[in-house]
Amino acid sequence: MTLLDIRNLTVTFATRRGAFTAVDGVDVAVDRNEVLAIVGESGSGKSVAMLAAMGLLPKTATVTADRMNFDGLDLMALSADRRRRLAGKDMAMIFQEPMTSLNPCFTVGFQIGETLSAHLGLARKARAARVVELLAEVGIPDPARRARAYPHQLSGGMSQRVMIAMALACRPKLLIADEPTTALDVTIQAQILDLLLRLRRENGMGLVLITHDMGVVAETADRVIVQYAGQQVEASPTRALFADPHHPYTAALLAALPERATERRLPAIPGVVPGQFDRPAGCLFSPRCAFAFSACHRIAPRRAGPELGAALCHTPLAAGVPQPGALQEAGA
Amino acid sequence: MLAYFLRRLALTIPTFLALMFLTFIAIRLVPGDPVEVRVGEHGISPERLAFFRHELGLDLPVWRQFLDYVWRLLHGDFGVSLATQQKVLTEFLTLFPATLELSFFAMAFAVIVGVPAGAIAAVKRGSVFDQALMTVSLFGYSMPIFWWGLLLIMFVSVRLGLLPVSGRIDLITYYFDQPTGFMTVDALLSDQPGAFLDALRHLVLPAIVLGTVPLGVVARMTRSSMLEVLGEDYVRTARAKGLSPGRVIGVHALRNALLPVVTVIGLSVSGLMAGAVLTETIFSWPGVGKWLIESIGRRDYPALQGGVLLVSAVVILVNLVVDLVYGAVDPRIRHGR
Repeated sequence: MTLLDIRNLTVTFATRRGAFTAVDGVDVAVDRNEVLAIVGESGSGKSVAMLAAMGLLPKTATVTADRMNFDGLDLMALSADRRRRLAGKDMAMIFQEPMTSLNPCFTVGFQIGETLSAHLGLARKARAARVVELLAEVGIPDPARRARAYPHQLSGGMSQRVMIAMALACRPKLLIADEPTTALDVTIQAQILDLLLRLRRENGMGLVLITHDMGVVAETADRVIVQYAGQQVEASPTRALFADPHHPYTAALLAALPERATERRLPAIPGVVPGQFDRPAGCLFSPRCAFAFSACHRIAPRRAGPELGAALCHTPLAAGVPQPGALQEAGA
Repeated sequence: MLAYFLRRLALTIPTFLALMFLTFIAIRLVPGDPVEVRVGEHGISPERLAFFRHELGLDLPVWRQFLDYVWRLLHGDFGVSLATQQKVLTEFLTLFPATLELSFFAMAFAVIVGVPAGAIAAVKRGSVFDQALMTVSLFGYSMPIFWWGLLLIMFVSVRLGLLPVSGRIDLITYYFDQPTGFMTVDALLSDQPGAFLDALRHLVLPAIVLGTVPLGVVARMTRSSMLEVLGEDYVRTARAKGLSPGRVIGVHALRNALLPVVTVIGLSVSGLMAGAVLTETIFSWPGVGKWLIESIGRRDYPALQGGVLLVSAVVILVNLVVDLVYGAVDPRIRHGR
């Protein structure tokens, strides 16, 4: 049984100027012991999809899905109270900005302890001991002293370790890490990733890694989902994705990796992700796509088969060459 | 911390000098001096007038009077009230507990009502409650104190007869020593049944009247501060931990939202003192405010000068204390960052 199984997830925000679809028909499946990376630029809806799974979206958001199961439970059928008791216990999440994700008014020990008392009902003494254990586990030196520290007394890397300790407090089955290393120094990034992978191995957790860093994906993930403007444009095993990207967007992302650059200047994808008011007709990526032709600007693409990475494209790439098949099926 | 404290203390010296000068000049710009006011319309012979003026030092040039005043102040001498012949400092210290008690209850009213109301309004942003609170607090903030006080007296005390009109306690029923000067405390100490309750009943209306402006400020500040904090990452973290909504809002958000509120409370102490002058006059509350108003009427120069200076000292002291309290609420300040 898949640990987290989401089918056709759509999240719509009611804004002052009409509805905005931040996530549009996304499928997510993660197993225990598996690392799934969700990749995309800012605004591609990757965080929103996972916040929806956690039940952390504001009231202005409408979440629909054909299926949203976690560990055999139908998340959409659960009461808010039941879901709250799942969050932080069986599914935990850490965030992009560790420095602002910790409450400045309380010691880190208190903040980790809170999770323990909320879900496990640990008493004061047991809680304090467990906090020190957890801090040691995430590699914080002198954990007993650090438990009494306030967030502003910690560096960014230390804060992220604290966030991880907090997330791991109840031994969750699933950990969602939302760009956990983006705000950190490069040297610290590797440490935090190693820590996450080690803890995933030791605890047998499922790990969802939200990132926009293809390098991170290559080093960590078993499978990859590529999102663009709220849509899932490709989903493949990591190795396959890097060897033969099927969606032009994925291909462009990989081409922008410094390791793969052949020119003096890094290739960039021109333009930006469309927002609420500048959605193109047809394929959302068409204005920025190097392979786009007239039909791409008019007709929304259909999803290709799994052999082509389920790419959302009229002419998915195979070995870098557009395949016309899907487009003809669409009747254009 | 000590160096910071001393530096803040030194910065108050120019403020005090300016205050001394301004009150000294302002009261002398008002037509009539203490002797004329005392004599009234009947008038006395010019010789007697000159004699009394000489006795009070009012015949000296104003700059000499000011220097004399400053000189005596530097020796800790606030002078003697012309009306009561009592030392100004003694009078102030006798009356100040009444003002302090009133201010305390007014502020308690503002905080106890304002903070939860503001917090709820922020959480239920845009709701009927939110809009109602914002409207009411705007009215509260803009309400002239004397009008609001008279309105409440007319309706609650006179029409409905629910609460006493004036004073601190029913002096016909209760009489006891006042070792602390705080009527509620002294009433408790007196062992007279019902005295404490009566003191509280006398406090209700003046405290509401004086607390209305700070209530508006505190409620609005809590709301806007809370709205800001609710969007912070650590609030999302708290929710991601699976904490109950009550704990997320009441502990994680509110604690951070209160920081600016503490500042506002500290800053509104000066406004509270100004409001106390009016409130005490309306409710015949025997405190410093009423005493200052009466001193103006009597042109009681020493009482007025000393009173204003001492009230200012209290305001400045409270602002200092607020800075220190801030450190207790916000660990980032406590650790000198």
